[in-house]
Amino acid sequence: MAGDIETRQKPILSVRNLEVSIRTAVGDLRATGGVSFDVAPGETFAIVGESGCGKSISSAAVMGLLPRAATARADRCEFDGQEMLTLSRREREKIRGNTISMIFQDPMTSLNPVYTIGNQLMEVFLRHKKGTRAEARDRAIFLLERVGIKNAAERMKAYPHQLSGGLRQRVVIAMAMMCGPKLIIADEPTTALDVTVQMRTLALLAEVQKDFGLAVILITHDLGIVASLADRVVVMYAGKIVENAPTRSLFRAPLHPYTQGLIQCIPSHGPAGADAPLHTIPGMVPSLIGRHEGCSFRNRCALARPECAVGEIGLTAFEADHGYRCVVPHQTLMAHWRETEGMKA
Amino acid sequence: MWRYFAKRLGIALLVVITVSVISFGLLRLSGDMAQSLAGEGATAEQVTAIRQLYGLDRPLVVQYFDWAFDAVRGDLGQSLVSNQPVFELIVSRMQVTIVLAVLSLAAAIAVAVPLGVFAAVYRNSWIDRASLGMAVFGSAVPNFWFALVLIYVFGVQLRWLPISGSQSWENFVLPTITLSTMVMPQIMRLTRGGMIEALDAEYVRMAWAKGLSPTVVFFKHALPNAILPVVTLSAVSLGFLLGGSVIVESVFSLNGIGSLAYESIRRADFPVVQSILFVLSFVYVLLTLVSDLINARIDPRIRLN
Repeated sequence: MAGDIETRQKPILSVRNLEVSIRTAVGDLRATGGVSFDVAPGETFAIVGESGCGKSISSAAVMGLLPRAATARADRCEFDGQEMLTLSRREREKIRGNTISMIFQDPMTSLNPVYTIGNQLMEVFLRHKKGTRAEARDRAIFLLERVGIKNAAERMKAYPHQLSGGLRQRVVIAMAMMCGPKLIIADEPTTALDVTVQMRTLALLAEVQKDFGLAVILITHDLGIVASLADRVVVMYAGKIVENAPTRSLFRAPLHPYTQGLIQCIPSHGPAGADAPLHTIPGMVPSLIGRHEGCSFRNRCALARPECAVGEIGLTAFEADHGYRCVVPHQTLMAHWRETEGMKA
Repeated sequence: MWRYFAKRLGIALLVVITVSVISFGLLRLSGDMAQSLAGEGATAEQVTAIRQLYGLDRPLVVQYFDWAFDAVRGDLGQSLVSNQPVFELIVSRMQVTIVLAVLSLAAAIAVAVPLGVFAAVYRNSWIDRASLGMAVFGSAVPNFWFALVLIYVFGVQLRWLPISGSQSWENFVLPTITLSTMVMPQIMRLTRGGMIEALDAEYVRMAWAKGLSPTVVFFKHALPNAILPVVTLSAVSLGFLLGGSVIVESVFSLNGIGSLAYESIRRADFPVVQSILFVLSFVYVLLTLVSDLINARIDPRIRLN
């Protein structure tokens, strides 16, 4: 099983068989079913998939930030040698914002409108480090400058509504850095931003990551971002990892038909250029309520065959660090990929 | 902040002037004052004499400005019944009402806000349901009946508390419970609603992700964002309480502004009725101004725009 492939370095985050289910009025919803992955120190690890595929809820489970109706269980969910799911509330609070920080989707709403950004930056530091207010202030100003905010000392007194979206996301990045984390989970960090500031913000995140040598989990639906930033990628569909590969390998040889579809959906992909019609994946994501047999993607898949409906489909190893969850042999999948690529050219 | 304050103050002044005109006009519209002052069997000459005595024969505009200029100087005229200055009369009766209103509102907030917060945090739990039950009880039960039950239980049966008068603090316990039970439900439900919205906001998720303790998340990050409408409602409730409750005051034999208003209306004591109306609207406007300022203090988006 490729999910069990151990990365050479000891991983900072190691997840095995993470299952999150949510109680709903119409039955239990299996938000994720047996998710496994490893994140190495210092690497950028992308989780890709369309909304509702379970990518955000997996990270929420690791952080212990699940909604009340949700429960998580896993064979292992180890961060920095500590099992996360069995921690007490207090122990978990000591990790959150300290050694793992989060960056949320919308910087317009992830800062509290009634406090100055200085207050919100210093708050995390004072919570986790035994420092004075002056130290917290210095650290905040240093980081604001580091993320490219001019007049940082002045800006400390600003309220969120006085800053633009791009600036606010910089503040959020600075806030995530306050306690010198080992891992940042960025949940769709640029989706709510103007296209013009998206790339600049991502470049900044990558720069900060390199400077401080921390790992980043990048949760996104945008494969374009993944291609330019991530070291490794897992593609999720309907609560399951369907493909797990180093970024380069994934774009060179996308095996799972869903991954292939996603890559086709990148507008700038392929040589066809502006005249080509935009690609879409037909059909809809299936409901996750109740138990399902077989592959959840089979109803939307061009290569579906009778075996797709039967049993649990495991991850097949294509290369040592590249696995895919599909019953079709990889030769056929690759042939299919070349064919669709050829049609475009 | 100062620009905001100046703007609010200007608006408040305009409202006070408008209200004074309306209250003055409404009272004149309610009937011929001279006629009702003269009484049932008065002759036409007597009515004319009274009309001239009180200056009611002058044009309305003149009467209004005459009254308004005196009012600005703190002279609200004299009671037609007791000949006491109206200002003194209102001040002496207002004291009891103010004490009772402030106590009742404070008690209501002290119970309603924490309860609203916990009801929102533990949505659909027993505490949420219990507080909903209290809210329904508080708004549904007639306050005179509730007051009588309190008097019966704590005054008559247990003999813990006095049942009437306003001599010591003990006299205020039962009226305060009665009135705060009345205003508590709305404050509680509004706090709960605001908190539910705030708890779902991204900045609260962020606060959790920062590893802050539940107390800090609820009270520092969520509550200030939920409390703005509660502040406004509290100001309105205080205005309502300061208006005095004739029923609650008479059940507990407290001589507050409510009973003064009732007596004055019954005796056609126009200067008093007119002044109570004006003073209470003035208080309402003042409270609204104060609540706007508190909200501006809490939310920078209000004061910095």
